[in-house]
Amino acid sequence: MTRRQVPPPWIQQAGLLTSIPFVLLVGPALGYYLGNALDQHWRFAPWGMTGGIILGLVASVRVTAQLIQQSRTLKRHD
Amino acid sequence: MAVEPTHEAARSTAQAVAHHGAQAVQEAAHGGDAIPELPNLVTVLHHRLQDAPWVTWLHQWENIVFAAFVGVLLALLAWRTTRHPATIPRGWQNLLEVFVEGIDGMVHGMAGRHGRTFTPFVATIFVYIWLMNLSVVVPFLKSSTSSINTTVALALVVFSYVQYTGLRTLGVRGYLDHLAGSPRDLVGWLLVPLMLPIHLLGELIKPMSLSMRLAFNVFAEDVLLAVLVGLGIGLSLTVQLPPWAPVPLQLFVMPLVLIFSTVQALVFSLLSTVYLSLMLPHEEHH
Repeated sequence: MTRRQVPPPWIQQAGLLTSIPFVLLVGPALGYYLGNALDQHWRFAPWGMTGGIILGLVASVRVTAQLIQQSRTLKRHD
Repeated sequence: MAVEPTHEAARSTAQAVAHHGAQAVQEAAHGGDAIPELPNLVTVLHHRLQDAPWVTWLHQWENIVFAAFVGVLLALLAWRTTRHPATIPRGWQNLLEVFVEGIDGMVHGMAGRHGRTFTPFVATIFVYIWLMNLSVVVPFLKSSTSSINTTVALALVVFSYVQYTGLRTLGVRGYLDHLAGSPRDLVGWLLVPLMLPIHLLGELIKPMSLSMRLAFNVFAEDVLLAVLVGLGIGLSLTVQLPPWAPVPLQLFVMPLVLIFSTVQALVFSLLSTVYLSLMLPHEEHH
């Protein structure tokens, strides 16, 4: 049985892909705050903040890749 | 004569509403701190009964009050619709079945056959956020989702359910293995100190981006509506119309608000489904 997808896959793809800017924004910001907290606690500034931003960016890129992969799967179903 | 007090009260309330909206827009235009906001039942009560403690309490917790109101409304609707289910659905039951089938199709398409267990959760999240987003178009109601506190709470619910699903389907060992990047060789094990924080940050990024996206979009819609209502009131005062009959400028963007409210609720539930499906074992995808 073919299941009708409501809403259509192109809307789902648009929803997934337009959330990428937020993901890319949140990652480094979160890394900055967590790294800064580590710096204040263990006093090894600025390495905690620098490492946090880099790790946050990498994590954001990873989540972005997952979202793109998922949207490509939707396109195959379209 | 009996009509007179009611008419007077309605006129007074309309004036309070007009005053609140116009004041907020005026303050914002002059660079004040006030953000234009449509008046709701609680702000009108607060304007008229500032000294009453229960009104102050309502004013402080207005987002939670309106979120609870939508929740109760939804529960009553679900209870009434499913009280006597018919084999051949009609009316509300028919509408709800079409809705559930649509969400089920979306979850099935995204997370595969095993993902169908998420349908009740995703459908509930969707309809709850959708109704909260749409509250702004009902006079004297407010979108609770325009507050970051509400959306963070919703995102935390999704985050908790995603982690619970991970623990349930993968087991504690499999879950830790997933967080460590599934190391299978020496290089993989050497990379664990790097992959673990990246995975942990990734899990935290998901709810934060979900909540920020929803709150900022709904907030922007609400501000747009409030600005247009304020402009309509200003215009009606300029052409000397009565304050209870402003020019309805907001009606031009109302269709956009309806569309974007639906899309935002849809995207939230869609991303929740994606994050849930990523926790399933990989061979279960589709």
